[in-house]
Amino acid sequence: MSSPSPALQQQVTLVELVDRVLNKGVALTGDITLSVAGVDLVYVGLRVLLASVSTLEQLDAE
Amino acid sequence: MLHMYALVRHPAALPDIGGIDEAPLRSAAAAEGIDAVVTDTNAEAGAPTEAAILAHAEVVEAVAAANDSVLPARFAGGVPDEDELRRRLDGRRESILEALDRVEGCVELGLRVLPDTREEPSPAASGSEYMRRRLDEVARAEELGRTLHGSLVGASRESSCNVLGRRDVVLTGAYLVARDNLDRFHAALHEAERELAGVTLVLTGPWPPYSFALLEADAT
Repeated sequence: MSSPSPALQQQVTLVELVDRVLNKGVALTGDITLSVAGVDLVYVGLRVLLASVSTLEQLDAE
Repeated sequence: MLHMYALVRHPAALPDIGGIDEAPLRSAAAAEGIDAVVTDTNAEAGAPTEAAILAHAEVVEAVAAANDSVLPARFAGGVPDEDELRRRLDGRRESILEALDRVEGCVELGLRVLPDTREEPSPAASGSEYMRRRLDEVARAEELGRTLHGSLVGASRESSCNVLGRRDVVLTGAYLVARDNLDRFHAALHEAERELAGVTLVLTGPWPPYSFALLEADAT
């Protein structure tokens, strides 16, 4: 098997983070799930999130 | 408006960090024996911007570290007030308490199995030959992913697996693993890795148990 490159690891970590925050977790009755278009917009913003990856890594290290 | 980050057993231990827009965290009684960790926000703060998503995730991490057990909340549009929060959790007290017991002492690990695309295949004789090869690659990676998932289930309290069969991601898995059992999980992963060729594994986490906080009533 191949080990992921650090860049791939970072990208996947971000995708997994956004997926969890928006699609998993307890929802309140009547919560409106974000539309596919809304989620796509969030993914477009992932490049901005990359700047914050060091924060995530600190969290992961704890 | 209230933005909810997580549900914990009463009394909530609040970490010393701010939430979205640096709003101070507070607890709100969600049901008897259950607190919600919330911030007061204006309506615009409910938008899922990059900064808001990160802030939500950081609060959930910090709340998980400060409390025995946590159910992360999904990022949603917010609720008007505490009465409405309680109303929208009405009838779910027992299942929330059960879920808090279920995830206590556990973290979530995420797995993505990607087909290895770094090795360029030898030139295909024809377009159909090329397509067949690509489909074979995905099918093979999917099979490897299923085998891998099977060997990780034993080291997890709970797990879920989605077979996507796409060229970019063939399989995603989520594993609820007791902190005491992390070594065993990693050993199982390393053992399984040795059998794998032609795929890239990306393990992420430890996460708070987002994927295992879904209550029965949420599935509808």
